[in-house]
Amino acid sequence: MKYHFQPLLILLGILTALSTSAPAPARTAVAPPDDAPGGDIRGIVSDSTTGEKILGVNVRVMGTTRGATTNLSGFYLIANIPGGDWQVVFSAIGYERKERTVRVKPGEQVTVDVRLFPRLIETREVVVEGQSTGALLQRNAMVHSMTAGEFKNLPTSGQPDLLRALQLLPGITSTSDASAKFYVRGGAGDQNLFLLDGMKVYNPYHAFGLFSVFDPDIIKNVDVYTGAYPAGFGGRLSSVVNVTTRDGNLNRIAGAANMNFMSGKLRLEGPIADDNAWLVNGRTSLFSGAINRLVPNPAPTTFYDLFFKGTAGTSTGRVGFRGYFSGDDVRPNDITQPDYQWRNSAVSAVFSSLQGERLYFDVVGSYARTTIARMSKDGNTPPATSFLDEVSLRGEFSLFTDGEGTSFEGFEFSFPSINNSFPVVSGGTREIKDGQVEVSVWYRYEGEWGPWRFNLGLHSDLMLLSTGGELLQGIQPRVMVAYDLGGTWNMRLAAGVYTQNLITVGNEDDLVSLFDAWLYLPKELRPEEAYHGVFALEGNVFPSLAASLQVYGKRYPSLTLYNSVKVFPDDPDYINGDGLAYGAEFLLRYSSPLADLNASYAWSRVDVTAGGVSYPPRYDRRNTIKVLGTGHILSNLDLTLRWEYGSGYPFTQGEGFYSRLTLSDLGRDPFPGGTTVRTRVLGPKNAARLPAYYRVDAGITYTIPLGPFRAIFGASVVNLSDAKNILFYDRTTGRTQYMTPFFPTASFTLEY
Amino acid sequence: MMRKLWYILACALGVSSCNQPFTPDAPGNTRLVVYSVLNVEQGTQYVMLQSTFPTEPGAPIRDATVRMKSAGDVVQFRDTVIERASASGTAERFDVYVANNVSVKKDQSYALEATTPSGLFARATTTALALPDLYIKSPGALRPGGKGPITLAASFGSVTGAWEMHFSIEFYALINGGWELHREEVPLKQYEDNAGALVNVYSRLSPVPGWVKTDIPLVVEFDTLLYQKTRTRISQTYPAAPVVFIYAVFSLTQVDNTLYSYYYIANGTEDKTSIRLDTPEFSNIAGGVGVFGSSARVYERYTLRE
Repeated sequence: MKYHFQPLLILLGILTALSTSAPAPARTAVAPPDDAPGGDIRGIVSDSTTGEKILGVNVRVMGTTRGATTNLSGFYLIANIPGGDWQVVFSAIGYERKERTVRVKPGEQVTVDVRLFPRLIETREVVVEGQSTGALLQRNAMVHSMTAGEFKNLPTSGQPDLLRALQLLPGITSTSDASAKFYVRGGAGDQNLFLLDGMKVYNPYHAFGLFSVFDPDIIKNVDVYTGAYPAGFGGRLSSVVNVTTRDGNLNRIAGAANMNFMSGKLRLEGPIADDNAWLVNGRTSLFSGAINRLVPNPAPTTFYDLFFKGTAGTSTGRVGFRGYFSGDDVRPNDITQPDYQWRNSAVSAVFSSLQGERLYFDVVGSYARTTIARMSKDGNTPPATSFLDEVSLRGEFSLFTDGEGTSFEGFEFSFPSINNSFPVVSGGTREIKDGQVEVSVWYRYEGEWGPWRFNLGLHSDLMLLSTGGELLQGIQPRVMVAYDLGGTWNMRLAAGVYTQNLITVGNEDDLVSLFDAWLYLPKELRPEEAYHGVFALEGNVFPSLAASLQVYGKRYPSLTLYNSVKVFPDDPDYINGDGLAYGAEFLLRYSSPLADLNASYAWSRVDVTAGGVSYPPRYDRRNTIKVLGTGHILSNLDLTLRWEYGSGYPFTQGEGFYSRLTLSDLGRDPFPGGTTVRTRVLGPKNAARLPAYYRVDAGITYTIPLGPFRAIFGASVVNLSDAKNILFYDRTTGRTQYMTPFFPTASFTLEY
Repeated sequence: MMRKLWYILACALGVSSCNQPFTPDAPGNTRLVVYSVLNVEQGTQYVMLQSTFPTEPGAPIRDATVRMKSAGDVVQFRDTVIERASASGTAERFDVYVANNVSVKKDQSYALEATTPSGLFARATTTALALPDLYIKSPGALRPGGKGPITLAASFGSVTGAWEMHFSIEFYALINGGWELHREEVPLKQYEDNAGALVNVYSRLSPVPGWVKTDIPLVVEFDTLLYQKTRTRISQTYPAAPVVFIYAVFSLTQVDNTLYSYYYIANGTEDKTSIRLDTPEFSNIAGGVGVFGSSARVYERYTLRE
């Protein structure tokens, strides 16, 4: 036990002696010193059963401090290793460890491609984020990495879902069961950047936010940056969700079919020739009535999505294409409610390769279109439509240096074009068209120095600079410094500056915002801006129990908020405000062959100020406890329980009514007269709190072999206790609408 | 392990089953509703005092302490009931607080405070407006056979938010054997609706254009033809004897920004081209709702009797 608290003592020592501490001496290498230039070890690591390239494999040269982590293409490079025979170790969670003896000749490159075997019996090794994959790429960032397997078996109300799974992470909250839209550490819902294989996704939700467009079956890995994210990501203030899809099975034709109470889906994948793979995945709604149980008003909902991908691999890179299409239609039974239609389409081409000896680059070119339409049934109101088209080219060059570091230089050109049409009270429409060129470049250096690790970068928004933006907005520093405290413990400090030029017009006061059209900020307003600061302490208390503490602060010098005191048409709809968010998050992860437990507590606070009025925004949840437990009852039977508590969200209380005088004859008679209108009086904005949120979900999955197939039976119960969590209160009718009720579902999956 | 899991489940269910009460309205948070328009040209000032209510309006607030302070002077309002003619001509009774012989000074700040016996309190301030300037630029147009538009020039104080102008004809008409003084308004414009009926348009409160300065007045024109038509209609209405036209009366009212903002919202004239769907609210009453603003009015008369 004494050992487990040693890192805390070390931390205290570090904090008091930080200014004088010198880097710890490098671990002694057993290899003989060699003054001659060394050689490089490089290669690609893939899954032995599917051929899928594995991201985040920890590659270490034994007897040295040298190592690397595989990138999205499974590629790694360890530069300047002295000549000789070396033991190189490849390890990744979920795979058997592999060792290879490699002969390095000075001045030469040795290619070592490795196939790792998935572990048949998973030994439950718990390691905190960043440590799990070991080396530079993830250890140097404030990131939660998840694989599809981590959220596919969660109890759900129909669809396993990435964004719902993300809400298990501390610091991420949602304002309703009926929406996958989430809020990260006090950031608004439009401040999250979604990337699908490098393509921006502007509307990542299906069924008006019930779940996301990211089908777990196509996902290889998800990196979630909840704050202080590194150079290379820009344009959003709060978080980054970076989704990497699978390439497809390189060894054989494979597939899966799934049916549940809400949808059916089919996935097919396979090889074409050596190292070339394809993957097609489609989903469509089957029982639109099931969704009615989960949403406030009966609204038959249909949806579909289709994803396809082709990848050709080479010994040092790959080339590929992918396409994505999705659509949703909601047609409420209520004739006073409008119909909604959402469409997404995107195609992209990727090319990545090693150029020369140590320069690796990834380039993604893409075109994407997002449309939303709101159509009234009476035919008298013009439809509201929103079109967002974007062509973009994104590239990043990785330069592996002789030392223990890698530098990254990247660029992104994007040409978003917005064409919105809104019906207005006067009966017509208001057209808002805007097209801009966005150019950003970045530089990032990731390195190690004894027990110190660092990720230093600059992210530059060139268009902001060229249009008179402030220096700190145009050139945004991003810094992360980590210190290994010994054992598995480490502490990190990260900070960064972020800006955002696009917002959604949806009112953050809306519980479920259906028409989230994107808009460029009005020219007269400052870009939205945020400063992040995060401190983290992480490590293993026991070998099977990991703990993480993160404390963060986010200052928003500039936010774009509704002008709550708008009176006249000439008054702006939006004004600049500011905000402050801060909080602490504590995460425990326990794992054993019999059970896994993931428990977190988050305390947070956010206040925004606009027009001289300060208030907590709609999504300011102060206390959140999330517990997810999975019992491995049998080798093929898992039982999952999920419990969540969230303190109440703010809302504005009514304070009765008053007889409002119109003073309609003011120009003729100053006496306070005129007709009276019964008008509601509201209290201070968001000064009251809704009741706390509770929910228990349970799920069970049972897997059996059926000849060449694998059958997976799943059953879930959402809101087991039928807790009455308030979705909204209709002040006019006095009706309270609750979130998802007790809701049992089942699913069946057949995999080949 | 299974026992532990069931135990966790039972605990979670236990806690989750505790549904809490929800109170959408703040209990008992009654606020004062204050309406008052400080008027520079008259000595009597009015304050209307009400309170918010949970469902239906309650009885008028009696015995409240209502004071208006300015530069060390305190004006006390008294609780009373007055009777005034409504727009339809019938008498209406109003529960108001009244102060007589109040000398309102232009550009001076006034603070209104109201405290009820039950402890409700509200406060608001306003700045008294200066009287606007108004003169007739083309009096010849008002004479019999006059031609060209009837043009007036108006100048405002710097804190003016909006203005409104009216043009009336005062006349004596023989009715039931006696001469009675009457007033008839001349419309600013007239148009024909879809049914072919003529619709009169009168001045409404409008924001003062930014270019209007003390030395660059606002010019307002009335149609001479509409003036003549109004005179003709008056004469036809009272055929017993020739009508005696006394005055052409022009009134110019200006109100401050606060009052105009309230008026704009209360009369449903929100931004009809906005993409926003929320309904704004406006009040300058600290601790309550309503409005305390300032207005000023001048009259310009032109003698018609020859």
